[in-house]
Amino acid sequence: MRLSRENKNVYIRRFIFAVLILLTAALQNTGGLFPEIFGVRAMLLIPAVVCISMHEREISGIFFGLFGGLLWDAFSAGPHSFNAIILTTIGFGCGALIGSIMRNNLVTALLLTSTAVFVYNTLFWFIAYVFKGYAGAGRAYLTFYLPSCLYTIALMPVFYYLVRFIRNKTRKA
Amino acid sequence: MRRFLRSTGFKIFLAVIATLLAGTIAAAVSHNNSTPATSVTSAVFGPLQRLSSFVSNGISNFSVNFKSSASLSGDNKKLENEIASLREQLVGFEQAKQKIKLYEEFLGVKEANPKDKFVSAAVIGRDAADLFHSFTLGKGSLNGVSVNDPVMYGKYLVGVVTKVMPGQCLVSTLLNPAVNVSAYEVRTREAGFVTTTVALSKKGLCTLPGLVSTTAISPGGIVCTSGIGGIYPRDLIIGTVTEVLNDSSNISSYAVIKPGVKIENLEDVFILIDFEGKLSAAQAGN
Repeated sequence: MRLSRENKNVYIRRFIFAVLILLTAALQNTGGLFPEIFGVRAMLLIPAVVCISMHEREISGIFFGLFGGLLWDAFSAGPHSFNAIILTTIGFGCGALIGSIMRNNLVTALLLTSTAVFVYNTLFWFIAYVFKGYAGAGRAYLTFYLPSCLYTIALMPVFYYLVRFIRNKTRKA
Repeated sequence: MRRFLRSTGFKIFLAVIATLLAGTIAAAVSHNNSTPATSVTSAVFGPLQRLSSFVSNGISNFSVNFKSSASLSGDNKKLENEIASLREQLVGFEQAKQKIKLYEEFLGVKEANPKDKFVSAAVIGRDAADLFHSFTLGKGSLNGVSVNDPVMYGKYLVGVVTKVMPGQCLVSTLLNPAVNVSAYEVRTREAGFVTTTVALSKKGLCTLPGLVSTTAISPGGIVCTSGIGGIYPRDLIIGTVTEVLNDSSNISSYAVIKPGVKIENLEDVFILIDFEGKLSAAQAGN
């Protein structure tokens, strides 16, 4: 069975995106590999999943989100499968929104990434701090999770243009 | 809306979420505290993480050399190269010296407790979303590691294994408020448990709460594990008392403790997989 040129490009593109997720996970989960600003870390997998699902739509978004989430879960101290469930939902949600009611551009990417990052951080903070009744949870949100959101959002354009570049190249090839 | 709910994408999404939730239930009943999907992912992609950890260490060494070379005069090229080469050797020497110190301390612990079984492990990952400095080690159930195994750096307690996968494990450190260690102060023999709060954890400190207001513990006192509970062996050093304060909510006092090692900068540690008086995860209530 021979693959058509179009199908071949789709497989190549998805393989490149999978490698991108893998590299992003390594960059995020290895201490000292990506710069921290005053102890604040970027959660790079979130904009990566948002931007890929925006360009690949919901079904691919589910699997890229799942892949990124499982890679994160392998190094996470959070609840079981928390990252896999959240990133799968983000991948599906972003893909479905772009496929139905939103345009695929940088402003939309900014809006979706901001929502995804705030939802992720707030949920994580709620489960890991508030539900456990730790004193000073509010301070942790303001001094770590909120700045992390801003740091992550600031890096989103890099992923958006990288994903768009890969998509355009594999479409033309 | 109905069309959306009946779409293939939505059905696949629900199936994936249901599978993940089933995995979560499986993890809750297993003694490893990890889901099957996480175990498979870590086994397949663990080597890549080890590689990136190795690259990260390489990059930090490179930056030291790069900075020192940049500050030298461009005229003395020969000397510059010589100095750069010596600095490179110095970095290697400092790293080796640190490692030898760790192994020497560890040897002392090993000689004092010949029946204890240890596994050395390198830190291969850290969770970006975790404020409490949890880290992942490159050894897992295949190396005999299990949940509740203490993690040490020389004679110092660093944390405890909370999740185990075949080739790696996750460590919750002393800077996590969920970690409680039964402990005593060496000079006064006053006993209690060491834990931390979100605010102290951010400063890299722990606390020994519930002390009587007339406590004899004073700054400089050394706090060690007491061995009660069967999770940690006796006499591992936790840290040094930096101050003793009155609790604002009751009449007790608490000691603020500075851990003996900089937990956020660790690269190599030892996992104590067996020691006299150890309880299994099931016996310890996990």
